[in-house]
Amino acid sequence: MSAACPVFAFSVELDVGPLEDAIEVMAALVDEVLYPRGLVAEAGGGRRASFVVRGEAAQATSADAEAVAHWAHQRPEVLSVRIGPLIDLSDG
Amino acid sequence: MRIVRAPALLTLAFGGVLFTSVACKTVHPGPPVAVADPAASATLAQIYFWRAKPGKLDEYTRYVRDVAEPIDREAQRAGAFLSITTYLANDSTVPWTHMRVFLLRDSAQLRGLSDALTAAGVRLQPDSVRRRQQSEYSATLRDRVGATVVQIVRH
Repeated sequence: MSAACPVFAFSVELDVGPLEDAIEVMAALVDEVLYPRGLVAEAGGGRRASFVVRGEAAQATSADAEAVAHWAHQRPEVLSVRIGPLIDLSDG
Repeated sequence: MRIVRAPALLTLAFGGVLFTSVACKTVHPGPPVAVADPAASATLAQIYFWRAKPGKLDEYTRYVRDVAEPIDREAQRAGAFLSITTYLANDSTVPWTHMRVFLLRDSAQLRGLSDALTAAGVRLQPDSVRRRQQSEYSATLRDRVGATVVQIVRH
C-alpha cells in the first residue's frame, strides 16, 4: 500500500479596497499570475477571507508563493497580503 | 439578467450604482435606480471563475440566466448574500469566460453561502433526479477555473 501523493499548496489572504478594485484585482491575479503558472485557487473552508492555491498539473512551489506575493506587492490596490507556508493538502 | 461584459478591465453594476474602471468599454444597460446600494455594506467577496467549454459560451450564458440566477435570487431573498454579479469576459486570452461575484456582509454569510445556494436549488427544484440532471448538464457547459475570497477594506 503506497502513501497518497502530496498536493502542495499555500494559502493567500488579501485585503483589497475599495470594492471596484477588489473585483479587478482578483481577476488580474487569476489572469496574470495563477493561470500562467498552472495554478488554481480554491476557496477553502468558508471561514476566512482566504483561499488556497495549488498546482493544476504540477505541485505549487515556494517560487509560486513568492510570485504571488511579489505580484500583490506591485498592486497599489492590495492593502495587505499574507502568504502561508507550503502545506500538503493530502495530509488530512 | 445581471451579466456584465468585461474587457480586460471591468465595469460593475451593483444595485443601480455604477462603478467604472479606467479601461471599460461596455456598461451594464439600464438607468440608475434610486435604491440603497447593497454593495455598500459588503466586507467580503466570494468570486468564482468559470470557463465555458469550447462552443458552449452562449449556451452556458443562457444556463446562468435561466438556471443559476433564479437559484441565486432565491438564496438572496433568504438572506444568503447581498448581491451577485456575473462578468462575461470579452478578452479570449484570459482563462475564464464568466466571473461570478457574490458580495457578502460578513463571515457568517461566507460560511453559509454554499449551503444556502444548495438549499435554494432544492426549494426551486425539489425533484432530486431533475437536480442531478441539471447538474450533469451544467458539467457539459463549463469548467471551474478557480474560486477566491477577498476582504474588502474601505478607504
